[in-house]
Amino acid sequence: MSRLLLVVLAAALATSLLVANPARAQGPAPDSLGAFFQGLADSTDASYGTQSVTFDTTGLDSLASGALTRPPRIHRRGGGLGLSPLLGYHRAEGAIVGMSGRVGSRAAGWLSLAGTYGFGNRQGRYAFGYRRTLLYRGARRGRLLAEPGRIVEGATRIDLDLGYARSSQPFLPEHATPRLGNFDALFSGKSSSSLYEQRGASGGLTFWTGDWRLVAGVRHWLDQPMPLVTRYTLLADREGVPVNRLALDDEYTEPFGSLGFWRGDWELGALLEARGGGADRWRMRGALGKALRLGSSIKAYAQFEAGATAANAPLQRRFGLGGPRAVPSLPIETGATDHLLLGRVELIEAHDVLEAVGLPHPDWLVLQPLVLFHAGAAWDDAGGRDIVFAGPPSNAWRGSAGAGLALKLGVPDPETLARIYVAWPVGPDAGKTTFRFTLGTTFELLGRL
Amino acid sequence: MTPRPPAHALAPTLLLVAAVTASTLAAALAGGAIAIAGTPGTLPRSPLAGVPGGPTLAAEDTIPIPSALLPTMFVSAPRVTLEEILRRVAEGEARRDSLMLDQSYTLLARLTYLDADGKAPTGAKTKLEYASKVYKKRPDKVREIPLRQRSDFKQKDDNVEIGAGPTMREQIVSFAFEPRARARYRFKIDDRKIVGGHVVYVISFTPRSTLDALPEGRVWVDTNDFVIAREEFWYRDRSPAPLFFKRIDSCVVERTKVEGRWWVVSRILARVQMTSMARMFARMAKEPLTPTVDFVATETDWRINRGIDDAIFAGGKR
Repeated sequence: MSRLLLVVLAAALATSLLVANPARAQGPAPDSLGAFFQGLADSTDASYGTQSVTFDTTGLDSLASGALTRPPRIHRRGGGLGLSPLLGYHRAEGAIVGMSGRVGSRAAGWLSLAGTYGFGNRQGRYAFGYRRTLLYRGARRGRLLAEPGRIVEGATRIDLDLGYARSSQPFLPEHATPRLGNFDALFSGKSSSSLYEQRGASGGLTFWTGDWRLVAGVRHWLDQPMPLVTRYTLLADREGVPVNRLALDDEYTEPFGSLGFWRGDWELGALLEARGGGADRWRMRGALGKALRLGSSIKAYAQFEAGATAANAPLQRRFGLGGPRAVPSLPIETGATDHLLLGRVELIEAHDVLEAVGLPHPDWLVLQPLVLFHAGAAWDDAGGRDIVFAGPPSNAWRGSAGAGLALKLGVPDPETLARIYVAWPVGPDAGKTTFRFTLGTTFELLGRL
Repeated sequence: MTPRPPAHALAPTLLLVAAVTASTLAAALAGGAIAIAGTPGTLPRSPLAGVPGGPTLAAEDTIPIPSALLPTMFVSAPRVTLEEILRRVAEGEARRDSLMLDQSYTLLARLTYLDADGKAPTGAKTKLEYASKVYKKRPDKVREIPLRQRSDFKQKDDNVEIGAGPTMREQIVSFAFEPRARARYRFKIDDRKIVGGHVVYVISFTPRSTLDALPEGRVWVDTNDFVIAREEFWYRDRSPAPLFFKRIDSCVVERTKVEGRWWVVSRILARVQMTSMARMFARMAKEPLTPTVDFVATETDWRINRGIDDAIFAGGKR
């Protein structure tokens, strides 16, 4: 009986809806769509809570209406001097302590200053830089132009950069790990590139548009060697600390330039860079990077690099094969050749290893498994010719395979990764099993584009 | 597997569903979404079907036709494909952007510290309230006049800055539908609703790779304008910056139609769960951070294409 009543009630409701509906259909309430979304908004309000979603608008109308004629005075952060400490350690400098700062505005440009003192070599280092954005079209706010530019879809920007510095530069900077305090040098002393002193002035223009970046400039530099000043390491054997390679004294003026490309949706990037300096100094380098999706949780990051320099180029311009960014089972700076070919593939899996094995861990420690294969060749052209394209001899190839963990840091670059892994040599003369800890990015051979 | 109830037990429900379905269908018919013929069992092809630039008519074959109440109908118009919806949304957003020459609105923003990590919110405390009047004009002029700022931060002039950029594109709504981004997501039609003569599609999106720092979420698309009217997205099972953000539970972007024509963002909400490391750094900086941070911004008092004088922008920064 009750079921029958329900059926009757439902039928009545159905009839009433059918009768009522044509009128609603002919003239739907103008705000019915608004009411639908308001219902969703009300649900959001309930989820967030009154404290988060309710604004005090008292007096705001009068402030808004007079905003143009009587703008309120509210202090907001300007281009004041920002300072940050510089700390580091290297076998050619010892402990270093210093400070860097930046001051300026969008209109006037940004002046950066940095200074350090090395307690090992008892030398100071300093850098003055001036950057001004000459043209900017894009979605970002103007004051954020204090930061160096990068390829951003839809943005066009031209920056002028001027600088004068007395600095410590790593050999083969493309393969050098970032000098973030050089903790690696302090702990083992083995993985940091050798340093040399560079002093001089440079000026250049950088043009970003669409997916491209073009750099052109000129500089006058004086290169000088830096000797080993300390073998101190915290954990490793001091005898194992390598010497600091000695750069060749050199003074030169050279043009430099590069062309970069990056498409985020393709995860494809390329870089071609060149330095002049004359017949005995020219140097060219190209790099290509591409990510490939292997299912929904694995990605392969493939990178290729090729380089060539003058046959008689000084040591600080030559190429090497070792180190975490090249063939990790080889010691850093293996080789000092005029040609280089390198290929590396890293596969990273998305899942958190510690969570998968049920180990308690801090919420920020999301370790993802990674495997890597790096192979390359560094060689001198057999004929001693000053040529860009040359084939490597078959016995020049070296390789490494490795497995470890990656920690995505997300700062200072969204693609910044810390990697910890074991690398094994593949093939003859490819070094020895090596434990590595590195900081870098997914496409570190491309650098910041 | 869930046991299916006997058919007779569902009779009232089915009748109610049939009635509601019939009513919504009738509403849709009156709204012109679907053309039907008077003769039961036949349905001539709509003259609008396939007309270039005309509306694509949906065959709502997912809505059961109550044969007891209405005659069986066959719809011959092509069904809107997901690909077409995505393309039209991109076009609709681009069209909306291209027609905007200038705009002004009042921006209100609030940052709230609270604890809502896996539980009901407690200990909510407002850390920052900010209000400004924003003027924008093509191609890239912007002037933002701060109206009020109340801050509970120890360093009053630092830490957080809220502001508007010069663009009138609302990419926070359409980011997943931008032509370049679409290939990185999987899309799915979750639901279709007919509301007051509007067919609203609910489309979900998921990154194709869980290694990408991209959110998943869903949007509500009003197919009258092919504009996104509401969006929710989140990073619940992975973080874009694991060191600092444990999760982003939800981001909600609400749009409102103003002046009868323009869909504009009316509110943005985000709830972020912070990591223990972020909280440790905050303690070191003597600005303690709660496990959860809520950000809410509203944009009201919209005025669009009213002709803003260039002189207004002379007094502000680009």
